[in-house]
Amino acid sequence: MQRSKIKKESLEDPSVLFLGIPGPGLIGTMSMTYIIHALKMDLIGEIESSPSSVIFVDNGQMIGPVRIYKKDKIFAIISDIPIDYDNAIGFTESVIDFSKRNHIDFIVFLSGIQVQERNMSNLKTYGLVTHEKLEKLLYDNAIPKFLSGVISGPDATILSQLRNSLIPTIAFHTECNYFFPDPDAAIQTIKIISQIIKTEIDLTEFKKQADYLRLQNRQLMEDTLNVLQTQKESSTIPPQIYK
Amino acid sequence: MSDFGSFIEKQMNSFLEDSVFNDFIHKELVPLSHLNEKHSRLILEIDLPFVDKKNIEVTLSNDHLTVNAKLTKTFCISRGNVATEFDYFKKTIKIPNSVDMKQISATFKNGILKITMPKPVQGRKIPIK
Repeated sequence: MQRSKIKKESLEDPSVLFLGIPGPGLIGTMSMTYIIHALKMDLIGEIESSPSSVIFVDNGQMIGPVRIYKKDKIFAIISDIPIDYDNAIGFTESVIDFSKRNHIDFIVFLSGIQVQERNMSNLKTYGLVTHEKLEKLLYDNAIPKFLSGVISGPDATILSQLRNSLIPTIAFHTECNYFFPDPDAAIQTIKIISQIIKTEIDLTEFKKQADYLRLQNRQLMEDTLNVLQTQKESSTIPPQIYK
Repeated sequence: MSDFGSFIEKQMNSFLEDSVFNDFIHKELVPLSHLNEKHSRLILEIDLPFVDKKNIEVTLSNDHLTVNAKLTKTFCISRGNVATEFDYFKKTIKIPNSVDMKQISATFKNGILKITMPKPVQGRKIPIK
């Protein structure tokens, strides 16, 4: 991945950057797509890989798969293709570079986590922060901390790089079906985002389209699992030493 | 309709508005599925959005299990000038030898078909002296 390219405007006074990439249950992608539509965020640029492996065409316009959106102080980077290991580092470097140049206060990374049994009527989202000052955000919004477990795959690569950067990051992992697109978990994630940005987001349209989203995202889910499975095989239970 | 609704509708139905499409293909969709092996059983989960329980047929023949499910709405995918319509999900899997065929059962909840395939109890108990 190359440095981010801002196409339409220079950015001023940014605050929060949301990251939504394909992962377990496609939580990041589905929730971020809806937020972008619900908040009517503007497309302001793309993060380009060189050369790009995919170009989407919409109404005769070429659109890159990894795009940057903005609305007031909220920024969003969304990817419509899985970020594999080869691209994860370059992608994160672009995100960090973008964040520094636009004075992002903190980054919010959206993903899912597989749980054996989950209460569908009360799905939980767990928060993980890289900098202590974000702990208050979890506390103020009654978001439980991600206390123990393993994060693997490109999520781990991205989060470990963000952790080493100077930009505070908060990761939200929502209980989800790991293997299928999970609109219910995406709805829970959107509710959390709504809390964080203190803006009510009407979920009516999302709920209406939930089954469409499951069908429409089948191929992306398969592609994502192919990337995730590579690492999942070697993921482990947290080591018990020092416990 | 909101932007999001329009966006999704556009994705689904754009081919209907485009008169240049001249090639319609009717196919069955292969649903997403996941096989999980537990200690005493195999669990096959199949994602079946837009499906009612009454429209699912699970059949077992020899060592193959086939799932047919009719969609409540036709799903369309367009690529260039070719539109493909899907009315059914269909998936066939070969059942592993280790499964007790008579004990296979299925449930359907939240759009996910869960087929449980118990493994037969094998071996003999060894007394401890």
